[in-house]
Amino acid sequence: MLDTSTGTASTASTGPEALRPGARAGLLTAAAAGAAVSISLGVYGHVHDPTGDAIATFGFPSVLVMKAWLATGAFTLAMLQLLSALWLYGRLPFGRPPAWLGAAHRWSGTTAFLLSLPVAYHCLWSLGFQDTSARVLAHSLFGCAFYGALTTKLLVLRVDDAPRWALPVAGGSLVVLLSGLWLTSSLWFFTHVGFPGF
Amino acid sequence: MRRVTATAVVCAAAGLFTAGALVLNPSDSKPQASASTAATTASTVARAGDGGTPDGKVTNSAGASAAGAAAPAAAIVTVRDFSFTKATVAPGATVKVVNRDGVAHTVSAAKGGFDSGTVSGGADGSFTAPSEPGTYRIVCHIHPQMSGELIVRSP
Repeated sequence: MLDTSTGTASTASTGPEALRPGARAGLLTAAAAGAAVSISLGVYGHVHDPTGDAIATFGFPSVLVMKAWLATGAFTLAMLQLLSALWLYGRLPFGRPPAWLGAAHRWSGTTAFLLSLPVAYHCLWSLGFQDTSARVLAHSLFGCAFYGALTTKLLVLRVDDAPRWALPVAGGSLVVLLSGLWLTSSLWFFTHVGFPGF
Repeated sequence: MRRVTATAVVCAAAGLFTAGALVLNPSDSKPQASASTAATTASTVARAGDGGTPDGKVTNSAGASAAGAAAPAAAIVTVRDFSFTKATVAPGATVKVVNRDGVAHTVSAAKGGFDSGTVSGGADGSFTAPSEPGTYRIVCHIHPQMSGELIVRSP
């Protein structure tokens, strides 16, 4: 930041944070674990023989409709995650965040993750990693990357002395990847197959 | 490391459960299917009378499992939930296509050679299997995310 009184750059309060060795190791471990999860999912999706079978529809008329709506639920919660995170970081003009917002942020994220699991299960078990079109390939890549990013974010949460940018970057990556997943699946389904699908 | 929260425990448990189900639930072992797939299997029993089996696999005209040792005769490929069932057919056999979805599909060889043409939602169609034994990748030209296999095997 430029110090206007002296015309020199000041790093006293806003310069790059020095990473402590423990934090550096923690972040690297989190990133490595996330990469391992993503690669494992991709390898599984590639080597597993897709069954083509259906799974439980949880009351929806078909598996595809169920997947489209569960993913939409997860995407909606992800948007709430983004807003609540911005509020928690003081980036929204709503004043001081309420005490319950932290817990709401955590549980909405957990719910989004749980909603995504049947979708991911069917994708991996029944369909596998596919590259039949750019959209399908992007969806496969987004899916693998999403769970790796989620693993990284959950681990970054528990790294002591992590720099302030670490959590927003990890959480922002999750939102971006989940948005990509939704755009290449549910939105495609609603615009090409039918809305609401039942 | 900071304390483990309840949400972290829930996420870890659900993630491990799902990963375990993926690894331990092979496609051909329905008796060991997970609770979720078992529920779906139960729902398909009622629909087994028109060619599909309770496990969603394709049967030949005699009702034997396509995965079994019986020689395939006329076979059925069922399209449901934007997925193909696997089918084993005899070379040159006429393969019936049953479209259980509400939208049109095709059952087409990825590399050409056979094609059902457009089969409307809820309708039936057919195509002639290749004369050369082998495993053929099938796709839907309308929905490129769909992919499956047609196994052509001599009786």
